[in-house]
Amino acid sequence: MMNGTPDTPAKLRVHELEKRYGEVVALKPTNLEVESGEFLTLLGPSGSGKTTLLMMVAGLAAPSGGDIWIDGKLSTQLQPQKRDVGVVFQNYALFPHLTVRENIAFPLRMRRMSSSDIEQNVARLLKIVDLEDKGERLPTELSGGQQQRVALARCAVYGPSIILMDEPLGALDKKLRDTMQMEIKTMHKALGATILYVTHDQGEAMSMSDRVCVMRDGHIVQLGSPADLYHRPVSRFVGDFLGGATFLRANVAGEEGDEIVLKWQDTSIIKAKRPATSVATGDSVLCMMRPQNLRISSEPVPGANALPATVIASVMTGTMTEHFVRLADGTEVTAVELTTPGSQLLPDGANVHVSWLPENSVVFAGEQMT
Amino acid sequence: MTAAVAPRGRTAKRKTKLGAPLLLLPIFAFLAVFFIYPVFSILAVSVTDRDGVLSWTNYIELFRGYNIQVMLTTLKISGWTTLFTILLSYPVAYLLATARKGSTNALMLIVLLPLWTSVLVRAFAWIVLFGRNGVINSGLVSIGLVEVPVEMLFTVFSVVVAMTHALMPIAVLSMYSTMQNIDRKLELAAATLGAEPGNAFWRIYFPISFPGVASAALVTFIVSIGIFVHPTLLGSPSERMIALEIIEQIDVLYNWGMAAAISVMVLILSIIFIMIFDKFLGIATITGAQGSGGPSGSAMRAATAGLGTMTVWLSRITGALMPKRKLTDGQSRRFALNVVAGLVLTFMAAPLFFLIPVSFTESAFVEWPPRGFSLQWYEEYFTDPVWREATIRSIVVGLATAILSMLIGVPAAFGINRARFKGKGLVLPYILMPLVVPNIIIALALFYFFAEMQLIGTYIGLVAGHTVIAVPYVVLTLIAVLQNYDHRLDQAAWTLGASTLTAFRRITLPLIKVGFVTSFLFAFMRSFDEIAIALFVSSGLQSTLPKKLWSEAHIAVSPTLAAVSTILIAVVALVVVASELLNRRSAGQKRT
Repeated sequence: MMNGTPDTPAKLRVHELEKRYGEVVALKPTNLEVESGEFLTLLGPSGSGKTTLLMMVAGLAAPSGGDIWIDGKLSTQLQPQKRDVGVVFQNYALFPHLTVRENIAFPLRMRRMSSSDIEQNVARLLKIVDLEDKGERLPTELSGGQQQRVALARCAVYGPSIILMDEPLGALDKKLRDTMQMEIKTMHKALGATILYVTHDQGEAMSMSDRVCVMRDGHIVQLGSPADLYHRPVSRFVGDFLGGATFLRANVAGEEGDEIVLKWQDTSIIKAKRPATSVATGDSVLCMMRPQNLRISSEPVPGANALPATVIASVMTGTMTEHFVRLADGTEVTAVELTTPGSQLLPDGANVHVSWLPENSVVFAGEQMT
Repeated sequence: MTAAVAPRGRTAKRKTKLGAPLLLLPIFAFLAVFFIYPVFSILAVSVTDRDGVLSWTNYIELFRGYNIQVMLTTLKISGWTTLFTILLSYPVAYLLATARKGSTNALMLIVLLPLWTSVLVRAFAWIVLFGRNGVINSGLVSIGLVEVPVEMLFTVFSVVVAMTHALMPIAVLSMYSTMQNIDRKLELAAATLGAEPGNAFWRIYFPISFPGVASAALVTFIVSIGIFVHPTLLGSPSERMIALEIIEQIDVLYNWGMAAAISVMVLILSIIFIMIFDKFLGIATITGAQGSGGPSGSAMRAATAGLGTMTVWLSRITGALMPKRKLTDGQSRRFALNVVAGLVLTFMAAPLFFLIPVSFTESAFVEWPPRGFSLQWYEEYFTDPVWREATIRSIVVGLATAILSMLIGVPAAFGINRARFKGKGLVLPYILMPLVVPNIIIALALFYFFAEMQLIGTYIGLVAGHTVIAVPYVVLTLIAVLQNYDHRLDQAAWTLGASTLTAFRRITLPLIKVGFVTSFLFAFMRSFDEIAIALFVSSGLQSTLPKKLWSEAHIAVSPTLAAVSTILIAVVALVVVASELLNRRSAGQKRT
């Protein structure tokens, strides 16, 4: 495998790919494979290397090392126009002097397709993206969502091996974003396209992707299905990035079957699932709980972990009811429940208990704690 | 928006609604009196004979021969000048628009240096280069390429080269302002969609940048028509252009009616070109504000597609012929662009520096290489009271022009930027009109108007005339600055309790003061370098520095002119570097 020859029919294969700007490392040597028809998202904060990786796959940035295989073809040194990729840019990069139809026809024209074929293909794509009546408009005459669809159509029309999308929803408002997420997902299925998607929005990543690749400081932290990442994060960073969570710092006090016993604040005992890495008694660890797994009640729930707390505030946001409480050491904890007719808002300052089941917590030890 | 804020917002809105026309009033009144009215009086003059009786004699005479010949020469020379100016300026503007931030500043300095240097000084530089004993001829003779000096000076070649050199900075800036707004990602997008670089450039970048090219061509052409300095100093009688004809009708023949008739003809021609431009691209393109580029015609598309395909094949063939090199395609293209743009930039900046050694010559003639070393020509400049007074007069008039231009230009820029009222689209063209009327015609019109008003030879006349020419630049510069200014900052200041005036003083002004300084300097330089108006409006002994330089050069180009030019270049270099440092400091402030 030293020569990096692919032995799987992956649409995209990145082998030990890296990017340095002088002393600064934008991407550490990275390996990644995207299967045919897959929707894979690179998720991370700014500076995590996700856009760098995408730009190198597109051929718009030159790698400092490693190789890129697109549809089984070594493409590391190929110019962007010779690669079989399509890119949807953050601001769409629609050509302002060409109509919608001409924008979509552009890649076909570059491939010297006959004009009747061009016409047919453009018409097909306009239908898919539901812009049949907007073909003669200029991009500036379209709404943000419509521009987005033109950009996608322009990419899909020539059937590239893989479509690369760089934060394509970044410029849209929240409501349009939600609609467009669904539309992209639908079009992904309709086109049978392979998509590599970049975003810093975890909700976007989780709702659209088959797999999510979480990146940080120029390397991949975790790669897996959205459910995998949410329920089984490999570190505090991933757990925190993929949605709200409470982290308690505790010390290992012992073991009990497949659970470990933790001591919090020298007073309370917490039970949790055994972490992936081995821990010894006395080690400092982090215990993570998701807000929907926490119960707030006046008395501790029997058989569950329970800590005393004081209510700070309690609000009903619609579907969810949220309780904000403070533990004895000052840690603020959020718990949410589905709003039902029985849901009650708790009075400020009330003394309550926060309870959760041991299997609903994840323990991080050592390096995982960062 | 909460209900509590709404009433305040409404009153603020009403205020600007009332305020905007008020802000525009000074510039409207000023231009009406010192530009519109005089230019229209020219129309009246053109249809009266020498006895003041209504008649068509001037026009009949005009179309009878010689003047038509001169007009055709003018159009020919202007056409060639425009063509070369555009061809040479495009690569520089493209390099400026696509270069990294750091190198843009250095490149900009090279573009700005000639722009801010006197037109006359730059014309002198070409005399030094092209003369029988000039730089090029002595070079050619000394390396034995030719035995006798080549006749370059006083030919159509020297006139077109010098005019191209004079007009390039404006053309570069005009194209750059359009190219700056072109999203760099468009070319990348074209590449990912399968367009080879030649295609990506010709089918995407060039059509979008075309409005900038067209407006640069229009401005270059119209300014060319009104030029008289270069054909006079660097041309022979067969390169005689129409502006000089106007001057001679006044200065030599005292034929007002004829001068006016020629001016009207030039004006009508200019208007025709502007209307053609407006029809195809819209006059607002001149401001460079329309960066996105409108729909282009099918002819344009066919042409660019053809050019694209041609470039792609050409690069494929050269790629196949050339041995495999380490350079990638993109790098070699960038290298080629750098070489071309580097040569053009050398053409723009280098000629000036040949004046410097000439100013220290011992000989009484302008020749290359200069003989010995002497400061006698500087001594002459500093001891001669006529030179000294002309310099002081130019500085005083320049400062007064800059102040007056700011006084009426600043409110106008704010009025245009903030206002939403009917007819707003007509306001900017009105203010920019002096830009597209050849200066010589404004000068003639003002001469006639000032003669009636007894303002010839007065400071008031000079300053008013120079302000007509300078104020459009002030408004253009300030509009560009204000466009980048986030108006919500003011609104934030208002909601935080600042009064309109306090918000302007504490928030707006500190953020846009560099734009203010730049437009002030710009207005000063326009006046300091202005010659057509000074030629007519300042009489006899009361000449400005450019007029003094001009009348000296008319007799003979002596080393004194090189010495004065050297001083001017030094001053301009200082001003440009100072403003650049100021720019950088404010940019630094923004970053922190």
